[in-house]
Amino acid sequence: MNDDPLDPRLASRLREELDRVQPPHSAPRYLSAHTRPIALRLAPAVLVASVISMLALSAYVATGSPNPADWGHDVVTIIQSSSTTPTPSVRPTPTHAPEQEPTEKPGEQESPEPSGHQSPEPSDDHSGEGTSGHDGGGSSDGGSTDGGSTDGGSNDEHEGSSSDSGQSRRS
Amino acid sequence: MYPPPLLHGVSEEYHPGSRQDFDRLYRTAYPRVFRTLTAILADPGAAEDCAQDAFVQAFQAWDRWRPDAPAEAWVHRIAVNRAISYRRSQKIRRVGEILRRLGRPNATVDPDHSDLLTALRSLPPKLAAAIVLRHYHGYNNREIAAALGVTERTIGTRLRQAGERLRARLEPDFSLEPTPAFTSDTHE
Repeated sequence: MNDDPLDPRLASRLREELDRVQPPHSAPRYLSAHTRPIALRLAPAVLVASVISMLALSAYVATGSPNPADWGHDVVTIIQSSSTTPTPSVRPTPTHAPEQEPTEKPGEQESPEPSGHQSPEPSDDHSGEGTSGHDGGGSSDGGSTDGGSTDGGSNDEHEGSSSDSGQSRRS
Repeated sequence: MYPPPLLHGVSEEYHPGSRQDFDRLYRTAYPRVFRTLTAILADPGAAEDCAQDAFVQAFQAWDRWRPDAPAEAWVHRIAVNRAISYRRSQKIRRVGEILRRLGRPNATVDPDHSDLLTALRSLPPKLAAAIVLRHYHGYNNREIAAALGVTERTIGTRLRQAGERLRARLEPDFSLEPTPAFTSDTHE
């Protein structure tokens, strides 16, 4: 099999013509192109380092501790504390819970009245004077030895007034 | 003017990753690679671009070059692949130009006025590269196969096809004197 069918004259002419071709005197481009791959190789490392430093800085600012062990500990405690008080997740799960709420609410609403008959403290709450007034009143009642009976009478009057006011509200 | 054979001792002079060795490879191989691409591509500027790009690509992979393969053949392979890609892109671009020039006289003239180079450039790049590597650079089939990454049998087939096409193209008016050129895009 002849692998070289080219005419010898054609081959010599090809050599002559290509010898006449002179490459242009231009600067090698690889001299200016070799810096790019190095920068491209370093770019991911620089990116990772900057992300890590930003995370470390934010963790330091959040925890106030430069120790990375504290960062992890704080994160664990935050996650645990958030998982122990899952108030939004408990509500939808029981289906009978909304049915129990109406039965309990009237009891809760009525419970201040019987307790109001037994003890004068809830009546103070209903009067809207606040808890500070309740504590102060209790202590002053106990502390005042002179007018103890009058205080008790006044309490009875308060009870009656409170019950009356409660009835008047219902009506 | 035949160069020294590619596979006999030349590759032992280069060391992968050595900047000085690559500079030496560039000085030795760039003119030869440029002439190879000049025979494949019609535009000397495109030949220069492809040759420079091939050396840039070779330089970026110089660390991974294996000394068992000839360095110049390796660069030739990169350059020929570049030229093939360039020819493909030019073909697509030429279709658009032909469509735009419909009805107008064709003003495309080969600048170097060589019917031989014009006929060579009208061949498929792989055939033209085989012809140049064989008849200009003086490589044997095994060296061309190593340069282009194909088998020796494939190189034999390409050389035969390229010779037949060149003869068919040049025989009617073949002579040793240069003749006026004709357009390079008649057979592509």
